[in-house]
Amino acid sequence: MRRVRAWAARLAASVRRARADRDLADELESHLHLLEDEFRRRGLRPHEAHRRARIQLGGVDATTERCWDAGRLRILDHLLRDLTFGVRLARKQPGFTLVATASLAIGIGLTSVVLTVVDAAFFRPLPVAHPDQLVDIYTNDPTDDDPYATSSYPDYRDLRASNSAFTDILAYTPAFATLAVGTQSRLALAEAVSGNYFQVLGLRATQGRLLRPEDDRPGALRTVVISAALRRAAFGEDAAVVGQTLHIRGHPYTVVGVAPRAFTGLTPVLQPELWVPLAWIDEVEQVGMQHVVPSPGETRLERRGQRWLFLKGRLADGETVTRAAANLDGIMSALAEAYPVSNAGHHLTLIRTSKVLVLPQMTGPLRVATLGLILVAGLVLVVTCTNIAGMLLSRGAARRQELGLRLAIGAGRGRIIQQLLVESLVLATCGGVVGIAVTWALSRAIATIRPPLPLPVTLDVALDARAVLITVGVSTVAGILAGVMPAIAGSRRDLTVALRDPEAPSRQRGWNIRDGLVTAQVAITLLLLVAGGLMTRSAVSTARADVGFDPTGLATVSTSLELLGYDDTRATRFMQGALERVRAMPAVQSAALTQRLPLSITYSRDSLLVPGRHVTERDAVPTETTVVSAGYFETLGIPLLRGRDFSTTDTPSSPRVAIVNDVLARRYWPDGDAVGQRFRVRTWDGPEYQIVGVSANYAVRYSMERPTPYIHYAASQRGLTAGVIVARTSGDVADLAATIRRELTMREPYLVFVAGYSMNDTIGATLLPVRLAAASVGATAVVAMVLAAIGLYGLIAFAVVCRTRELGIRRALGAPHGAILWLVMRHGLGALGVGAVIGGAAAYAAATALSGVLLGVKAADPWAWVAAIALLTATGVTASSVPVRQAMRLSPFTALRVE
Amino acid sequence: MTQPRADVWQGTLNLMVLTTLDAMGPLHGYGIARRIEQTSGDRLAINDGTLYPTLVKLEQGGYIASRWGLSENNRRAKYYRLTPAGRRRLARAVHDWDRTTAILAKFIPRGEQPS
Repeated sequence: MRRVRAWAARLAASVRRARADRDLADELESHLHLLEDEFRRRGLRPHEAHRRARIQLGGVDATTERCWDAGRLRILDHLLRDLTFGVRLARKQPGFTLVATASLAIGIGLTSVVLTVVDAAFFRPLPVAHPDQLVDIYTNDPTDDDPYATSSYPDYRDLRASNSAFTDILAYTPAFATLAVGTQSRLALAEAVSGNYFQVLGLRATQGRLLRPEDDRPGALRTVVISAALRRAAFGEDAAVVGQTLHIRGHPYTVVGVAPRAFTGLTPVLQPELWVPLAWIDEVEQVGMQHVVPSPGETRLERRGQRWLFLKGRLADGETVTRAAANLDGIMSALAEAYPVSNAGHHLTLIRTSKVLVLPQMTGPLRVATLGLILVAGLVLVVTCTNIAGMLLSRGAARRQELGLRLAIGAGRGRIIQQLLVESLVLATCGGVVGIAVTWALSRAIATIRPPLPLPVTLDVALDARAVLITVGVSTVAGILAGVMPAIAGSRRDLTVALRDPEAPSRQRGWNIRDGLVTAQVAITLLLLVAGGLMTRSAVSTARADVGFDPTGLATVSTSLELLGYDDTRATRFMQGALERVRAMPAVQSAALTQRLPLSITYSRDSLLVPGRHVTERDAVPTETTVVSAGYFETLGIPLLRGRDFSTTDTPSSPRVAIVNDVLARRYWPDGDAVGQRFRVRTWDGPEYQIVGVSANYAVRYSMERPTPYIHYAASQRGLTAGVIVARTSGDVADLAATIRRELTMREPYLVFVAGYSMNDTIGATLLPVRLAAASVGATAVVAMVLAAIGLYGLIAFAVVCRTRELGIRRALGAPHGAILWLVMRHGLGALGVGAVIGGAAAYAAATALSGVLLGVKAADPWAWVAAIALLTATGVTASSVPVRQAMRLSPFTALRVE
Repeated sequence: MTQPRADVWQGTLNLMVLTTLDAMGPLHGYGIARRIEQTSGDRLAINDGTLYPTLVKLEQGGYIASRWGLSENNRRAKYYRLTPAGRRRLARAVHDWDRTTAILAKFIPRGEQPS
């Protein structure tokens, strides 16, 4: 207690220095007066009394100073003073501060954003009550040798009823819901959950109530809980939503409440917008793992062999995972005896929820990937810090006399180290503040990346207190990392040397770690610049590439009737009717149906068997297929080389027909006409098709692909449940697509539309990975370039500072500019040259290895290389221009006027 | 200046200040310095200024308290007095001192007292 009081008093004294100073001065003066009185009383003359009084007291200033040292928090006071000095120094050298801040902001921002994303995606504990008590329960999948598979509903009910280890167990599955709030229907991510889901998690509604067990009973009213995000989007921020109705696949559901804002479901990474009771599972489209063993039952809720649910249990007090596993194992063995068909060979695996990253199968690889990401970010931070350390070292060398003088008049080494560290922390703080802005911008950019998926998926990387805390931590580490080496170097006790010979550090000759580091930075920069250039060139040439048809002027409308529970006949009838209406629109030149669009991510294959070419069924060749209506080739602008288009005479009862592309025709019938030839799919007993036409080749999976064999079946014979309407117009494509959507919605209000409005959107989506790769590698290259520039600058500036005196002498003796330049640049040029050679070799090797991915551009692409080398040279020149100019401007007098 | 003067042992100044205040009651810095001088028989070599850091520390520790007042010859001066905490501290310090000297006494041969 006493110590605390003493500290508090000192702290107060620190703050009230001015007042206390006056008080002490008064006191000492009164002391002097009393002494003088005494001496005068003893008969000394006033003048002598005054002198003796001063001797007796000792120096007033020294006494004051000693009182301060005794009384104040010395460290705090010094810290304050160092801080003021550090800030003043930072302001006095704006160039230095700016470069250091920018560099640190990049390093800190990158590191923080990586840590933030990793943290947001994997490590943030679930925002539920006591997340540490939750345990994941998986049934194994013997067919796949996967211990972490889903469970069936009857198994779940038995486990829940009979176990003694868990207070309760919940079940859920992610699902797609055809959601309509008002008139607009769209695809939404939902979780179908057991009635006890929210109770087991211990969550409270922000409005209304959450689901209860009675909502999840057959015959209950349809109820739903919505996310805070859905409430905001569909009803407004503060809207009262309890009792509102929304439609899922046309059925009215009553909103009973809103989930907590922080809770984004148990499905990792993704964010469901609504929670529906499992009782209504057949009104949503269950997604995710499922494995099925035939078993009795009408619905998936009754079939014990159909496994599709994720289970989580809350451990009872004092229970362990091991004991719980033994308990559940017993129940599963009993079930395997009772239901051998569906349950033999099935057992459970339990794992604490907090130990799982996304999914248990992914935990291992994700850990490695995460570690890799953190390592890379850490490396960037280390490089940044080393650069700053380099800059601080050269500044320290320039301040050698100042520091030497301070040491000489009695400053402790600790004080000097403290001062220099505070200075680097001031820089790191500037970097950290800008770094938070960088982190914010980057995480915003990441949040806007939309993967080409049919529903809105976003990574939740909002910048919260945790992220800011991470940034602050990273900045502090950066400040210390960057400052500690220069601080120790700057505080060395060789005072006399420092004072007499300010160029002491110039004894450093040859190469050291810093040169190596700068060399490595240059090499990495060149590698990244070349890679970024090649990727950009590839992205550009892919975007410009001829895809075999004309994508401009093509409106597309993609939909799925399967989601609405249509069967084939009904769906086909609907699609045919829709096509006729679209064809009748005045803006439409021609229109057609297709199962998949070229260059989209849809995937469909059949194994092709050609009589005479293939012998056994094992020879069958997997071949890309689609189903199209008549007019498809005309609409897309793909020439039919031989034969005919599909027509109204191709009906389900007429012989099956197909149109193949040129490369397929030439491959299997190289000598004759493919038209009229027949092939089968899957097996020799499988359906037989006659080729009625051959189309020109066009891009199927991605642009610039090698021509891919492609089979088109007739929509009039096969039917379409999920399909795309393509329409060519000379007018506005988006307008037309919107008109078509309206037309279709009038006929089926709950229709859900997928992806973009035009063929160019689709192509854009397929180009997204290439563009993203080009952009991210390009951005990394720019960062690396800035860092390398700062590294080079530090290296050359250090050389100039160390040799100021030598340079002065040389100038005085008449050394030509060239010689001076060479002397200063030698180190920098060496690092630049060696780095460029290493980086160039690595870049060429990488480009050659990547030539399969880099479409439309050669490894030795002159544009990419010339641009990369030009940028690197510009970087080198910029980085060295400041210190070199400084060296050239050195007047021999200034340089030689030392002490 | 006829007698050689001893340096003040580190830490003993605290004790001297506390005993002085205990014996004399409230006193200003000048008075404390004179009293220590008298008590030691002028054998201690201290500048009056040396006293002040000790006073500051003791005051911040809460062992002594101060207020401005008037000296006998009508000069403004800061008077220090012992606080209850200071009294306890003094008692403990005296106890410690006695024990230490008692132990040390056993190591030092009797008979010839150093003068």
